[in-house]
Amino acid sequence: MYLVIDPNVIISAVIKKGNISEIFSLNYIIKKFNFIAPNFLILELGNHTAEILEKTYFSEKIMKEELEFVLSQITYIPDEEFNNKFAEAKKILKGHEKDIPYLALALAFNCNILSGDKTFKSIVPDRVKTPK
Amino acid sequence: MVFFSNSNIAKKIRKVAKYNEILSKSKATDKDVEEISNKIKDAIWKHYSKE
Repeated sequence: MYLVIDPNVIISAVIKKGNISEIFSLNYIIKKFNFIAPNFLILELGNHTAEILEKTYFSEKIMKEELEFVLSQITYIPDEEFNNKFAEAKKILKGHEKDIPYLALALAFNCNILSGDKTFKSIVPDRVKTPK
Repeated sequence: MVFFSNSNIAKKIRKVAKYNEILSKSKATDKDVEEISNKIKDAIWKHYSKE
């Protein structure tokens, strides 16, 4: 079962214990979900490792282990596989443009989105699932 | 645990336990998660809005 994940979910899984880290822990063993994310997300995460270190007080080695645990469970989808859904996503999200790539990806794969973003959830309640 | 000692599932359980043990030592808060993820979302949107 495909499930789009956004940066909020990834960062939460990497730096904070909670419902999202439990989802990643369980999925590592039972593989219920096939997590997917836009390809560009993994490149951008690399630009924020210093902030992750600063907030967690992890050593660089430990942070890499945590990142690897989370990121290895995600399949990164090239832009050309979902950019034909951008116009439709933009129409649905109106002014909330930052979430267009995640909704476009969900439309392309006909699946839901796991996100902790309350605004995103309020605009697309049927498609966005929040971790509880 | 002895039952699983040589299996692939035992390795996975150990890895999950280590992941959670490390996370329990993190000083990060919900606010930190929001702050970093918003910056990443902004940067990603900048990339896609150029296309």
